Amino acid sequence: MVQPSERPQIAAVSAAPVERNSVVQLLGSPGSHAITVKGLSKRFQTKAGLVTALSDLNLAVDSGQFLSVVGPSGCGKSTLLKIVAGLVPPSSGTVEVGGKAVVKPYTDVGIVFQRDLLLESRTAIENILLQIEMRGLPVKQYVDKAKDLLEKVGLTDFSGKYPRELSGGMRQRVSICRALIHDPPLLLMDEPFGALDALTRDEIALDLAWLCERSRKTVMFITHSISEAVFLSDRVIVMTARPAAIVKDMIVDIARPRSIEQRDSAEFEQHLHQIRELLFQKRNS
Amino acid sequence: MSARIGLRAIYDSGWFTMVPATVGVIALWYFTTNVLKVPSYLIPGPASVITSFRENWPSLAQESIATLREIIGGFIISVATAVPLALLIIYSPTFERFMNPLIVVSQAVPKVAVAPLFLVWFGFGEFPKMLIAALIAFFPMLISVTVGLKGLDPDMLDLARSMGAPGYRVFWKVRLPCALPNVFAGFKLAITFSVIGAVVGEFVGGDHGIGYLIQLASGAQRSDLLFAGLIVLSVMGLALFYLVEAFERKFVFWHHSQITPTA
Ligand SMILES: Nc1ncnc2c1ncn2[C@@H]1O[C@H](COP(=O)(O)OP(=O)(O)O)[C@@H](O)[C@H]1O
Ligand SMILES: [Mg+2]
Repeated sequence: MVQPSERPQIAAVSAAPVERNSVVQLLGSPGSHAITVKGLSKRFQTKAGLVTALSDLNLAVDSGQFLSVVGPSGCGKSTLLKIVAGLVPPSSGTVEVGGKAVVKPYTDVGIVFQRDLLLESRTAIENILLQIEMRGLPVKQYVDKAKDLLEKVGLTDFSGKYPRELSGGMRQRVSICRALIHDPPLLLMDEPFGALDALTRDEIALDLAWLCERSRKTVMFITHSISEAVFLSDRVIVMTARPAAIVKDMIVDIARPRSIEQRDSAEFEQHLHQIRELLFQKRNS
Repeated sequence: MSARIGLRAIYDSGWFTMVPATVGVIALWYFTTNVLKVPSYLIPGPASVITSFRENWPSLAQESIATLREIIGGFIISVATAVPLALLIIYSPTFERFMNPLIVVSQAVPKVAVAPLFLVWFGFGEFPKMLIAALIAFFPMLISVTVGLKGLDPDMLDLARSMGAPGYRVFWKVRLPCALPNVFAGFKLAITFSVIGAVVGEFVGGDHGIGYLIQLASGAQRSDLLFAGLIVLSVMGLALFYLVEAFERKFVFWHHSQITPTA
């Protein structure tokens, strides 16, 4: 088990600016990686007929923005993420990332799915370096960086462990490191903490906040935890199913770096309340 | 402390259960023949089988080597055909659609009954026996390998695509490692089925091998020699199985199936 003291605490981080600078270096420089989605629709042909996952969706995400997408199961969040990643072609509409039209998968992106997708045959650090090997980059030059990332998420002692020896939270941390090692300007996360218990979720959300603080990555983060979304994001959008639409687009102007205590603040509660009320209304109508 | 770890290791290794099981079987055997007095042409006593071993060991050894060659030859042929076919199946949907009915139909054909045909085609050497062994080992092997290679998580494939890896790299670094547990399950089935195939081949048209020896012994009502042949065959099958398993432990040590609980 990871001892709480081994893990970087958000409060400790904000008290140590030097440390944070190294994270900024680690996570790289800002790039222009805005996402622009215009008139996006996606229909799936299934045995039961045509399923409309997304219809006429418009969305503009600023470069360096941490965007959370909240919405009920089946409303098309994963589909949106995969289209933004170029992994699934849209039925109609366009997606641009960093000014370039997305028509096929591209590589300057880091992706984390709900399942950690670690290879059981590789140790934690080898799993992180898979990203480098797959790209045909020189692995040796990234070993230190992989170790650095493992340290940032409190897994230094687990670098040589196999996935089966790690807890669910540790595994997902490794998978986040794998998505960050090549320093992508864009991070796409599809319910990355969905399979974790509540306590682990909070811990790992702190880690993520810490990793992303001031890194200026554009992040699209799908979750169904409203409080997680508010805690991590600069902006939260709420989607509904049938018709698939963005029903709420909210800027979270809570100062950063955010600490876990802020989750109890009135400001935080107010943001939560707005979203909750909206989802609740939708369900009752 | 170390004595306890030692005992633990003995308990965890298969020997702890295997030794008493073997002793138990031999005791039961002895009881059947020497106490219940089952006639020796039905079940020969342990003593007469041991005598048979002593008297016939040169020919037993010689014939086992012939059978071993057939088993290993059959195993290699089945691996060398099933693996490329599995690759074609997973990478070409057209080929898969073409193969599926063929696989189902050929599964339905009792392969033991095909053995005489192979002898007609290929004569009496060791080669047709290898082919029969390969034929019987082939399908379980093909199915295990295909299932393993196909079983890759689609999200993992998406991840690999966003890493920009060319297809061959996805195969070597992701698909194959994920499939290894299934591939080894296929190998273990194949080696077991190869033993059956080789013996079937020798039964049908052999002039060599333990299968042939067993038939001779049966014709001559020498059940002691027949039992000796059976024992040789079982030991050979077990040894080959454990050999494949040893390779599995070496290559798939990271899989949960390979973990022995330790205190
Ligand atoms: N590959 C697919 N084939 C058919 N239908 C799909 C496919 N992917 C998603 N869908 C359908 O599209 C809708 C949205 O799915 P998804 O994007 O996974 O939703 P979410 O991630 O919000 O739960 C669902 O109704 C789902 O059944
Ligand atoms: Mg989803």
